[in-house]
Amino acid sequence: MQRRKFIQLSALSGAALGISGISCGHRHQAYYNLLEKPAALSQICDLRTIRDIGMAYSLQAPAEAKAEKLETLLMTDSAGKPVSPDANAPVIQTLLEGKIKHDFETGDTVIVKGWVLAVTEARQCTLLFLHQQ
Amino acid sequence: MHTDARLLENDTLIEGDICIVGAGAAGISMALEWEGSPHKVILLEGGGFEYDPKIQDLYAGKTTGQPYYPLMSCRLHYFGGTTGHWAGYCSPLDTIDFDKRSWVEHSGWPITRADMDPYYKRAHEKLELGPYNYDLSFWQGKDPGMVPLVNSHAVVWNKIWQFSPPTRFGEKYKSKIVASRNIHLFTYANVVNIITNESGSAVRELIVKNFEGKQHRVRAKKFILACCSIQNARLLLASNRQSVHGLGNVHDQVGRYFMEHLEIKAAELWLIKPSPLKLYAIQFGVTKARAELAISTEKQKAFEILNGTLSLSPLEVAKKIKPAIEGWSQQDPRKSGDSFFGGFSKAARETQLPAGGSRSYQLFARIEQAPNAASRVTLDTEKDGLGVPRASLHWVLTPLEKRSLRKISELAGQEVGRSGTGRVKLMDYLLDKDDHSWPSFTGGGWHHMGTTRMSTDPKQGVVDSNCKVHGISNLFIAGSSCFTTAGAANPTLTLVALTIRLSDHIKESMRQKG
Repeated sequence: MQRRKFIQLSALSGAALGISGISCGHRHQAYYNLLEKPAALSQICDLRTIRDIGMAYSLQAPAEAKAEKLETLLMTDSAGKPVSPDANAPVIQTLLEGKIKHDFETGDTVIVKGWVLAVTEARQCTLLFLHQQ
Repeated sequence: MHTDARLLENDTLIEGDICIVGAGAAGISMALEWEGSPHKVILLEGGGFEYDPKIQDLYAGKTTGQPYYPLMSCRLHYFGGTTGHWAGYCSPLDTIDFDKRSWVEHSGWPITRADMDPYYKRAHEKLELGPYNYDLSFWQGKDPGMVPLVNSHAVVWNKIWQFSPPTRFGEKYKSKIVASRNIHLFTYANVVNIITNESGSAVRELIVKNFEGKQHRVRAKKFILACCSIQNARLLLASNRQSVHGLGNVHDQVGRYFMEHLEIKAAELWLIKPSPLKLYAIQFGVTKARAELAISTEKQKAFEILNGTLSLSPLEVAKKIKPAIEGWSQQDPRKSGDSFFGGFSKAARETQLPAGGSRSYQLFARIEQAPNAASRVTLDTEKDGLGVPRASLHWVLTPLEKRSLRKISELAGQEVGRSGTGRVKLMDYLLDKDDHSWPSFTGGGWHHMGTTRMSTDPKQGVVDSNCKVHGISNLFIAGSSCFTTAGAANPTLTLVALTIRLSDHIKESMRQKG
């Protein structure tokens, strides 16, 4: 139920972001859908919860609470190497999955609204929150 | 043999080689160790073979500090003791539980887990447990469906619990004790005073009373108190006619360091795919072994936290169960038991779990309480029906417990995340950084420990490494009151093992003396 709701709301969110995407010019829709959708968490939580986590993390880590900053952090691999925003969806998906796994393995986790999350996931939630503000 | 002490002529002198006070898990275990020996064993039980409200009332007392269950409801005062309603959870303490830990003040037993292993094995027989084997792989060999949620060892491991049927000592061992030729059970024989020699260096006799107005004396070479943590301390403190502060209490240690296992919901586990998580499931009366998530020794050291484990229950069921501190609120243990256990049964009965298993689980913590001198049993001004001052419990927790609980939950969350199986959400109260505050649903496991703790230093404990009371040559204590620290496992297995060890020690000392 929660998952279905998430997908519906994601679609709306995606539509809204489409406008944002147009304003950004070159960035494709899939880019934002992936960046703002923590894959594992979205199978557990609804969109509102993910947004709330994002809002909470923006307060916990105010230095990161800017969309551009978050995009940069998310699009940098675990070795510190930037990945092009123009990369195709599977590349971005693999990047994010790898970063999340790496976060958990190295203890780069954070507790946000009680959830024990990879920092990457928290950033994804925050990006969603910022874009939906 | 069995004698109802109410039927004896007043001021009867009862004599034996050893005298065991209390016929619960510890007392009966001790007596059984001597069955068939040439020694005459006196086993004193304050109650009879059945529940008696007037006898049970002797366990009533006050509680202050952290809210606790009514004292009268926590222990059963009849032959078999609290095994009359225990749930049968058994697991040995971990090696680290016996160690001195720099971050846990007053930690460090004078004995090790290796010292205990042979006795754990023997305790298994009395508690009708399976083989003394707590390796996950052993149990997986019996049931390959026991698949771990996480299994990193370096951070979180799967600590196995075994389940006693549960053995009701009263039912299981009554006929053996009563039929024994050298064990002499006296029911309705409540010890109200321990009399020592003039110097206080040895116990001379015990005074026992009952509600029929009879008073008797009991003499033996060795005396073993096995009345449970609160009553052991109470009896020592109340035996204050010769020593104003009570027996074994020269250094004001008796009654201090009362410990419980904090039992409290800590977090929720949300799985990406539903699973029955069979390894962690329990079906009372059926399950022989299951696991709980435990924190590695290395991580306990690294984060300077207490030991603790997390059990898993489907959230749909767990949410319907009242916290124990609410459900177990009546003085009468039968009513509290019915209310509490009935709540479990009702929740399970009324919840239809998905066929493929649940997607969400409650992570329910059981963690040790740090030894804390301020957490203590003292004597109340009010006296019970036999004229003994009632117990007063002041239960005190420290910030270390809460910090540990938070870190244990967080580490479990990290490992679940790392495994890719789901995510963990901590309870709101753990996000509150005030480690002095506890939520209203904070409860204990009815596991009373530590009021006559073991230490080689009489200034740091009441009994020595052989459970002998410091400064009194023939007075010993059996049970969890001797625990130096609580560990994360339920205490029954350890207290029975420790009792068997004590029994061996006394036998050996008697053998040496010829």
